Amino acid sequence: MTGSDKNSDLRESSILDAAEYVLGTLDAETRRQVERDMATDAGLSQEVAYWQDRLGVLGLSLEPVEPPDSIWQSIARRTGINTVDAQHEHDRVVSLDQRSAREKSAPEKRSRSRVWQGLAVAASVAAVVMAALLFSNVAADRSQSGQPAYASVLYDKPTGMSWLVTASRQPHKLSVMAMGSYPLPQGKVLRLWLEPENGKVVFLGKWPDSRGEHTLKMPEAVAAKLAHAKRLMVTMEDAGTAPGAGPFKRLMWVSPVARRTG
Amino acid sequence: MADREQLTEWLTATAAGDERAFQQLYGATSSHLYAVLLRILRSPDRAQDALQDAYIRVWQKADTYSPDRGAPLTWLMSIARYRALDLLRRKRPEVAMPEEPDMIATLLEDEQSLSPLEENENQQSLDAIRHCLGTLAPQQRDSVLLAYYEGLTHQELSARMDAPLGTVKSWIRRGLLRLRECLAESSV
Repeated sequence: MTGSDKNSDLRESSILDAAEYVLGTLDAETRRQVERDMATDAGLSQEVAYWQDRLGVLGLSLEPVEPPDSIWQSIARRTGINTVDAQHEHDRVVSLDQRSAREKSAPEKRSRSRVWQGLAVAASVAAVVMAALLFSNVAADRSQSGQPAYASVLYDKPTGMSWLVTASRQPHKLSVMAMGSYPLPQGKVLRLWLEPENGKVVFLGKWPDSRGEHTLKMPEAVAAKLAHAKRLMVTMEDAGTAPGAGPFKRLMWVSPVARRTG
Repeated sequence: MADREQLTEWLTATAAGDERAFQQLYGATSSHLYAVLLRILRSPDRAQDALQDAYIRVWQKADTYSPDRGAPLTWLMSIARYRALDLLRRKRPEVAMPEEPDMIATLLEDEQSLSPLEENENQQSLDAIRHCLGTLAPQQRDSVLLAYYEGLTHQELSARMDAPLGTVKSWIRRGLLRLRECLAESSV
């Protein structure tokens, strides 16, 4: 056998090891051997990458299937990440106290994030919604005008900051009493959103970060959506950007909206 | 589906610990990975477990991705498939979804079965491999596709195709070498 033949055989062997590794037909021992060899053989490693890329497109010929929402929630829990999507965030927040140890790499990952982002994550992780906002059906509300019809408290455990939220039917407004000042990173603002049972999330106004009483007035059309509200959300976003349109948006707190029973 | 550049951007950001980018990456790709996992594992519960494990691994290992190692989506697909194969080797499901015996024929012949691919590069790659698979002998082609889509081992292929183990191994190897040659000619 010539040197050229040997090289050709080696090349063929490498191609087959890589291809069958990607295909998954190798027995366990051979598979482990290929993995060991890849650590020192750049050519083999490159060949594996080649087959991953070529055979990988076969998977794209299948009709995509949406996984259940619960999968993302589980991933978020296991990695300890702070998810932005309210659908997922709600369940993550309420299960925080029961959450088991995070995946090993999560703290390391987080340490690489920007400092202010880390602050936001820490705040969000420990955020506890102490009471549901009691938006009942506005049309059915029989409370006297001027009397608080709905109330809620949002509490941020690490800072001790809390907000008391009350709503009146007439006029259409939310009153937010901030019990302290929230340490907002420079260049960021907090914004309040309403998620209806059906339809898109609606921006309600700026969420206060300084101590004192604040009023959020709402157009009648927006107030009408309160009757069908599912949850309220507070996001942190870049100041000076349109609500929800900036490059940064982080969900901070979620308050489920429960029907008033009394 | 997001394009290659966008997926690469999200993967790079994920490697840097950007949680939002990771979530966007999941939103854009999970339906493709889940489809493959369902095909291989034939059990929604097991496919969902594998999908979770795959994205946990992506979160932990995103920094090992490099664009010169292939498209982001095929890289993700590989992670998911390897996880599925791990689960498959441990235990076959006791309750399986029904088999689809005409799956291979459908994949090769029925253009309508293809999902819409918004990324031209993926479509070209898929066209190329479909073309090259079409140049293989039927047993070679079927054994490669059964291994890919059902995660069958040599022994399982031997039983499924009712052929001696050595023959099946030979089909696979010859088929893969021919595929490599054809793909190189296609310059994909």
